[in-house]
Amino acid sequence: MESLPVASSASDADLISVTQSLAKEAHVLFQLGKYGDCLKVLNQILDKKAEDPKVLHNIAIVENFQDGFSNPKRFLETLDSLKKRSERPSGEVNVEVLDNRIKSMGNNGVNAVANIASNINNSQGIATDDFDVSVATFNIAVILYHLHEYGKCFSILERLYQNIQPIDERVARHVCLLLLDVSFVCHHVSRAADVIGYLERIGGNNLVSQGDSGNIPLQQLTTLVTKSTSTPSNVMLSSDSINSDQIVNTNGPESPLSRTLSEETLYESLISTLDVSGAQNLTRPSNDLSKTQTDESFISSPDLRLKVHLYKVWILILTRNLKAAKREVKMAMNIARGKDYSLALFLKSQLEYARNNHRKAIKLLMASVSQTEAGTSALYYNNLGCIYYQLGKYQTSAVFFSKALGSSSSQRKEKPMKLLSVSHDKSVLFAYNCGLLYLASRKPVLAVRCFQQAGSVFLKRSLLWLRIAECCIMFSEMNADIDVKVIGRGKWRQLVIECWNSRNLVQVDPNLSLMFAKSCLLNALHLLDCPYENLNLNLNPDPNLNTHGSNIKPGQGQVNSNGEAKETKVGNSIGNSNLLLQSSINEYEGLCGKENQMILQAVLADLAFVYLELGNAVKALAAARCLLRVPQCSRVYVFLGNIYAAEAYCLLNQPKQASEHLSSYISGQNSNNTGLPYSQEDCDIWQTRRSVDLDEANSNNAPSIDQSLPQGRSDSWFLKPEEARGVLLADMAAIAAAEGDIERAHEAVTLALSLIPNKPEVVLTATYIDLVLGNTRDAVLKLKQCSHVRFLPATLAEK
Amino acid sequence: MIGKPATALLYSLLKDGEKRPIEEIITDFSSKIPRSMHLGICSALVILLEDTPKFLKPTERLVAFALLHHAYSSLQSSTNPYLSLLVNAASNEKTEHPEKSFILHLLGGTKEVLKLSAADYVNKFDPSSHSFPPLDQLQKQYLDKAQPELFNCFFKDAAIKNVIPDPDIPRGCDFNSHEFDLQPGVKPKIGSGDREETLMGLIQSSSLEGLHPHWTRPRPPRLPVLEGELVWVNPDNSHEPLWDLGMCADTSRGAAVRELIVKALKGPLLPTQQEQVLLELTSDPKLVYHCGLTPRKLPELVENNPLIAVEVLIKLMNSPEISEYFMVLVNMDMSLHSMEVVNRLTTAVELPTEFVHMYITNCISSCENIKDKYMQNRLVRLVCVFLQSLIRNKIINVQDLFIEVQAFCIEFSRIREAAGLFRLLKTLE
Repeated sequence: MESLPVASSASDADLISVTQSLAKEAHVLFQLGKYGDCLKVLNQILDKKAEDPKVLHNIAIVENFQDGFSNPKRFLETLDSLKKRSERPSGEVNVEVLDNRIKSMGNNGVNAVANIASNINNSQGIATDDFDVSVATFNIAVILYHLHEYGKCFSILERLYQNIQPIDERVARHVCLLLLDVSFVCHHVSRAADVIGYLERIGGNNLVSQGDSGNIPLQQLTTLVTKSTSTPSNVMLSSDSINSDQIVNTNGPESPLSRTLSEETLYESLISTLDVSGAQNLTRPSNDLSKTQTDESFISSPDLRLKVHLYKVWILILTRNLKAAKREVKMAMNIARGKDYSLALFLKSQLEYARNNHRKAIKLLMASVSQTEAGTSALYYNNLGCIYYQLGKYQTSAVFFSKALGSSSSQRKEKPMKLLSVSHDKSVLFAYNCGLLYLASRKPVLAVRCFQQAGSVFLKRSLLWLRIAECCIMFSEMNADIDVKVIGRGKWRQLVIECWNSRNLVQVDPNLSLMFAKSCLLNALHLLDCPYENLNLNLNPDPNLNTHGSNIKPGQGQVNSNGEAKETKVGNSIGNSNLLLQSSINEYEGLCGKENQMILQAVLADLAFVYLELGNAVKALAAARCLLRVPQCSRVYVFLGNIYAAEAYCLLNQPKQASEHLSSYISGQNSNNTGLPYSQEDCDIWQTRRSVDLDEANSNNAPSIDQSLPQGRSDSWFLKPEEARGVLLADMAAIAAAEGDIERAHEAVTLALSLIPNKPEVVLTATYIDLVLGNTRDAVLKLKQCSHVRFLPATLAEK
Repeated sequence: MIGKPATALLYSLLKDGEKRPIEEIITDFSSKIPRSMHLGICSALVILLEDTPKFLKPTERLVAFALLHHAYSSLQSSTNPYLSLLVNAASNEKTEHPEKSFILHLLGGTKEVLKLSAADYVNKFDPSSHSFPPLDQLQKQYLDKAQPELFNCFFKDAAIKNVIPDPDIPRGCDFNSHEFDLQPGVKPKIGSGDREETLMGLIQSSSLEGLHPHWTRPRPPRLPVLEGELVWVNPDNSHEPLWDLGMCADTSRGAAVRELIVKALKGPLLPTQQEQVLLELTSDPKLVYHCGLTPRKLPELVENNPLIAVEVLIKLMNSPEISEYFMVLVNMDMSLHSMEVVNRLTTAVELPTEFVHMYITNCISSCENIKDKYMQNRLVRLVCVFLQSLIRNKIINVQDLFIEVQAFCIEFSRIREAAGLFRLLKTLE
């Protein structure tokens, strides 16, 4: 119906054959890299078919190859406008509307649907999609990928993938592979598994059997469709009928197709067919009409099979099913034998890294780099950085990360900038690692810069926002000291005790302020889809207090716990081979849920802390109470939640409620008799790391020192249980002192000082209590013993 | 907070109590010291007034009290936060009498005293002419009007002054002895100090906050680096833009198929046409998606060309739309052709069970609703053999539909095939 180029006249036919042969010629020239000649040919075609979008598309491609994609943004615009021009608004829309109606009508609605449908489509007949935009769309996605616009790229590919079946096999394979790469960057593991499942379903069996290079497996559908495996002794599939049935048996004597059959004979034949258990062969193994493809942009089946296999390994590693990954990687290496496949080696190394066999991981990385081009050296350095970070050797790690960043930026400087070199520049990813490293080395200023650089990719991950907030919190930590000014001389000598209000005097970089930390934490909370965010942060702790609505906007665009947009499965069922992946992913999603719980606790604790620092007791209280409501909240964070809530109540002049939060730790009659708020194990849970696989450790015989936990890590994480008890007692002392119960306060603060002698706040409280009791000497002694106290002569203090 | 010039000025004003009327001093204070500093200065004065070693001489104290009283004079007197300090001082045993009476004058709002200099007031003071009311009376008189102090903070309310005399002053240094005051021209003894120097230092380093109990606020721990949080990067495929092979491609074969499908919706195709459609569909596996068939058109295709319908559906098995096709298929009016298609599909591909069940239900109800006895018999026979075939080939599990099928058999037990199906069911029980 659309003016299909069916040869209606001789001249038309001529034109078609001329343009066809020119198109072939152009394609050959393109593949040979003779872009100038290719453009000439394309322009010849354009003379004959003015404004043909496909010709214009290919011209744009060639031009950009010619100048090395110097302006990818402009290229994108060109593609986009061409795509829009090719898309016809009607056609598909109708089908969609229709399908939705069918769904909504259920069983009985078919007739009604037919009516509606005839209204919609009236004379239009059958829709064609001659104007296939899949190539242009794919190319847009490719450019976005190279520009690190992973989110956009992912959603474009998603749309293509949702309707992948009609897309030309050559393009479809590229779509799948690109989608796989993007999925990995964006951590959309289950989407990746789905694509792998699809690739296996479509090509799997054929891929295994065909040793060719470039034949399209044509019989995929038929092969998969037959139930040779699942239906026992299927009558329909006797082997000789397959062989004899090469050609469609439309003219077979007993074929029900013969139009000569009357209704009656048709009836009888159907009856008899069914009655003899329906031995009627339908399966028609497609006689390999493999069109020989010389196109090098076609991913050959063995190649694809290997890639699929490697991607499977990758998913297994990401989902931490290391046993299965080990098994699969061996198989993959067998397939890859003879070819150099850096991905395979990288994956092997990643596997060993994941299993904490760091030495082996390093060895494999070295091997991979020896046989690959310079483009991967940045990856190599980055991965080495990861390994050394895990070993706790931050300095070495820093060297490698900066080398990774350095080799990326040197690539970037090359002129003209080639598209592929832009793509190889993964500095956005390295930046995140760098940020973590700087954070661990207590350099928040540098860390926050890195995290912001990584933001474009990690925007949707709550963890990024938490890390930035951690930078701000760390930055705010700087000066916490007591100044004692010594004023006057001799008998007039006076001591003025001052505590730090110095922090606010420093002009803080807005990207490191606590206000910024607050916004980041609220972002993280939103991304975590925290069920508390809307309910309880708004909850008034006290009807008399005026709390305004929290800053959190109610969830827009639901993002699930993994920070992934909800996905719909393509295809009906997951093949058997995919069960492994599916189960790993299920398990992994469980793990992610647990990790999200950890992140949530950290976010809420940080939020309560930041609000306290900002002097917003109401919000701090709300955050602390949210934290206490997290199911299976770690005892460490319960402790923090109680302390923060108690402080918030004090600031709100409600010491009774404050005491209630602390009293849960009191055992026995004596109110200063507190137990440990949490145990060492409670702390350890947060730092346990996978132990080395046993078999591996044995085979290595001597477990290397490298693999033990890096020193100093275990105790730097948080307050030890004893110290936490000290904090608890100090705070109980503060409340008691403010309430005037000096005796109890004194007892508590003495205990607290014995547990945490060097906390300025505790020393101040103790000093206060001593002074109230009139023990000036004790008070001054305590100040002198504390390392955080500076005695300053008045002249210095004057400045 | 309070800079050196302001301190010097304040101190000179305090000393001026010796010679100038207090009124003038107050005016100078208001005009020469910016208002923003008044609060800080007042709190410094409070510290100086409260201190046990008396930093201030009696005349200076009077000026200080006057300044404190004046600070809030523009407002209602009951809002003055230093009111209780004044009242306490006025009723304190230890307070010297001239001071007491001066404060009472201030509280009472008598302006005359302010016309005198502090020194004159002290000198002219006649203790016999004054009576000193006790604390509770004064409190009743002045503080009852006072609003309760605006709530500040639980901890800060408990604050005490943050200035303490150094307990470690050299031994043998008697505070009250003037021996240790600095004497001009004399080499200072160990332990001697200058009152003025201390005074100035205190004013300068005074802060609004006193010393109060402090809350220990633990810093939240950093979340340990999670497993897999460090980004390990593997080499990716080299993705390059693709050439569009669809340019100037020959679409005539696809177009021909589309036209044939249009025909196939309207009536049976000729065998050669059928052959052509099937051949093209096989040679280009993607063609089925482009041949123009949609779910709603399926019934027409089934009725006119069931074999093509079967082939198309088989090829569409991987399509996300396949369930819609099935939905249409099992719900279309039961006919020989639809049954043929369903039957072929059940044996060729794995048809979702729910669709098969739906179709069977559809068949059974069609049989029951048909009026023409002859037609009904024919249909029942057909359904029965169809069901038997399904059961034999284990395509359906009878248990799922047992009651429905059994009822069907009983209803039509007069028909031979139904009885046969019933027997088959019994053997499976």
